[in-house]
Amino acid sequence: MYSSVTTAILRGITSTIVTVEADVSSGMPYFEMVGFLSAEVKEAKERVRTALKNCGFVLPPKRITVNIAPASIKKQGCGFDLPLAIAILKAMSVINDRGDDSGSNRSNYSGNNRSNDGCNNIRDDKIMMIGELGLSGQINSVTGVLPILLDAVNNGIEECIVPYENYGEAKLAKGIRIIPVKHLLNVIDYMNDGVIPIVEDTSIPPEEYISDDKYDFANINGQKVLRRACEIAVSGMHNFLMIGPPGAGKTLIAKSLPSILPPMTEEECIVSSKIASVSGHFKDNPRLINVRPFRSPHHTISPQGLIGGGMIPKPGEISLAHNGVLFLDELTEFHKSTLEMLRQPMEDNEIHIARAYGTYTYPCNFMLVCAMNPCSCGYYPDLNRCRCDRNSIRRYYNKLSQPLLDRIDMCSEASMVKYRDIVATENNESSEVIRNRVIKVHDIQKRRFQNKPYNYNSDIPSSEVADVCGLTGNENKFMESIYEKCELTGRTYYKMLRVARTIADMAGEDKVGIIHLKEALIYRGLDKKYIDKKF
Amino acid sequence: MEELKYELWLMKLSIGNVAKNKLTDCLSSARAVYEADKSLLMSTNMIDEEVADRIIEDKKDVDLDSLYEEFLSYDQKLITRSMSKYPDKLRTISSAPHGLFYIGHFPDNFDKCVSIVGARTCSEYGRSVATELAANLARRGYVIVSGLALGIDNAAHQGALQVDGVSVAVLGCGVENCYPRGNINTYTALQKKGAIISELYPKTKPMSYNFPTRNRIISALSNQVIIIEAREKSGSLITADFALEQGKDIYALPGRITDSLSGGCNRLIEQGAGIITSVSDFINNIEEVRLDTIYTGNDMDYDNFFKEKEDRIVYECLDFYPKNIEKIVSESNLELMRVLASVMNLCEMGFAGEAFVNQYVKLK
Repeated sequence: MYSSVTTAILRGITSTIVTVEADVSSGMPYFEMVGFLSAEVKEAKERVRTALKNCGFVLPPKRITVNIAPASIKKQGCGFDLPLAIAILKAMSVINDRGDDSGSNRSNYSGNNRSNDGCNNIRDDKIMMIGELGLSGQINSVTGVLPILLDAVNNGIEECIVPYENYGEAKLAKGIRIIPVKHLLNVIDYMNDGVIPIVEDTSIPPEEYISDDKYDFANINGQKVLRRACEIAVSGMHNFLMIGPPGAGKTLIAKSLPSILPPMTEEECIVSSKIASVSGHFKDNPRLINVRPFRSPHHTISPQGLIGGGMIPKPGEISLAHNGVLFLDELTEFHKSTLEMLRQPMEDNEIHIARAYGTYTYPCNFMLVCAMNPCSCGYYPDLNRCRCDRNSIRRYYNKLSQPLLDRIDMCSEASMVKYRDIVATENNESSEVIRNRVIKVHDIQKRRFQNKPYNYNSDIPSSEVADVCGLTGNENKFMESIYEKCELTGRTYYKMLRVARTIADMAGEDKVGIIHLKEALIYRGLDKKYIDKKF
Repeated sequence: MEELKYELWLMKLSIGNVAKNKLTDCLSSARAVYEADKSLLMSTNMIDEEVADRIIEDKKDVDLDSLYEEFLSYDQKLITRSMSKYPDKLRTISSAPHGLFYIGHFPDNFDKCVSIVGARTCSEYGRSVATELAANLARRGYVIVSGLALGIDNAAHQGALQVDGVSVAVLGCGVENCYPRGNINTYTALQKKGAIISELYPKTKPMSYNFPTRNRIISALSNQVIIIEAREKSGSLITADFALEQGKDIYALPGRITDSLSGGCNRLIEQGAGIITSVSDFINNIEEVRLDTIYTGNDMDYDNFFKEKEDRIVYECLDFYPKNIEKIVSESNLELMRVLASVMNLCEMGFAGEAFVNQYVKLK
């Protein structure tokens, strides 16, 4: 007898509906699975066979054929165990088939004592199920439930059976009924009799940003320039580099950045949650991500860890930092080849990871924040303390490529903190005050870029910068004079204008004035020319 | 031309300068040294047997004509002790080089000659004083000798070249080798207006052990040696030692006691070196003439110069050492935004420059 069950396969953060078909017919005893399956899906055969046996169902000595359609997509992951088992049980007539598109079998309930609620009024092809089976029949959690469910809603699926452990995460998807199950027998009971397993509500309410007293701008004394630079960078989501001697407080400031980041929009929350789901971060903490992520990978990170990878490509740190901050501390200690990989995703705001069987795409629109020392001893250009010669400084900066530095919009120095500043008890501006200002600037940008594909000043394409900035005679003249004097390039010129636009937005000005351009010039990115600078 | 072959052979010969000089003095020419057999060499009583053997051995491997051909291809010139152009000041030092290879124009005399040396990683203060000194001395016809190193050496050469003066760079490698590469502009400019000289045979690689010995030539060529910036254990102090040995006047540029870059200089002054109080004082000192003050760095009419009061306050906070904005803010007691504006104004007017990220130096 033929049966089919609907499930889905995850590709990146999007999913495709697939159908598991099973057929049990007379013939030589035989169990075959087809449909472009990867190794872990083929293994499902043994798991399902044993799980069914332990639940009291022995596979009949017949010809059993399973197909996972469409056959053109490579099937990967462990979520196929449950649909596979159910498809076979259906084909064995253990579970009643309640029809598919034709709807012809809908009323044919064969005298089972089904209640009128439950799933009995939903066609089988509107029920999706995912889950991994243990040998005893228990159902284990899988990753990527949220993106699968969000796509399922769009595909008209009305109900989804998910592993109990994924319940919290699954509940984040609206417009679909979730049936959490712990055991294969729960599923059979539900499918036949509409018995919904009793579950406790494990979901955690969405995380509100709780200000961490440890990392608040109120605790940062001195560093006036850096504070200002941070605010500008966050306001326009500009990539930002901090240079300073060891112990100046670069890391502390970077860690305080989340406290001044504005809240995410609903759309952004969903994408970030999808990414977290795919990478398995929901297992212990199933709640909608509505706080901008702050990722700070250690400098020993591998290329795959940073941009994403693996046999089934998982999102890397750059995607986990989507809509948030990627902080690279000790920038020069990263492998050069790893850093270079950032170049293309930083331009495109998404990363395409190609595999033989298809390309995975993950979004990665992040704000890059880096920190580094000015030389290997950390004190250049204070010649009283720095004993590095020119060549060693040059070597130090050669660890960073100019194309990467060009992508960093702003650069500021973290200066040594003086004792007077450390012990000062002055009332610094708290993160909350700064954050409110940042939110205002973000609103201005949102209004301005309403009909554009980008949201922030840092993303303005160079062809539109001049329009957005609205430079007039005097400002153009000023830019012309400094273009020559400061040896700007095309890229640094536009970078400056973008930063100046943000500074003008912060001042509430419609047009960018000379004063804004001058300030932008101060935060002009790091240039290797500093090292050989002669006056 | 014939003689040059033998001179080249002797230049390439790996025996000490003292031995070379003694032999040529004794046997009258390089050719005579080449043609002498072992017994003749030994009979001069100037060298021991081992050295004599080495000379004889060397002759076997060398083809004089090909040596000469090869030298012509280098496009360099050679001045040896036998020539009148060889500076007299060099003849008198104990291990005078047998000859000097050079490119450019070898100065006819070194009667008025000052050498300026100092740290490679120097401050803006050192750089500007070195340039100023070199320019004013070169304008008065002094030859400026230095070592083409980064930092002070380069600033000294540049100072002389700016006023179209004569400057000589003494290298620690073959003269065809611009070391360090970063000074290629100075290197090419020197060939037009001065000379690049070296006692080392062409194609000698820059090796660390060759650099201290070239310092004796720098000090020997000059009457006065000026040390601009040196740490307590600086290579520039080697030049000062040679100068002392050769009886030259040593001058040092004083610095603040808190600046480690001035440690070596201040120590020299403590030990009796001349002190540079101003460019004009120094020139008055060595020329024994009365000059008006030349170095007018601090004589500006500040009050009327700066359009805005704050610009002046910020200018006064700046120094010849890079200073970060943070520090300027706290020293000037001005608002951050005000300081940023003033700094940019000063940069525009050419009074300040960006030395590093958010760090600025005074330029005038």
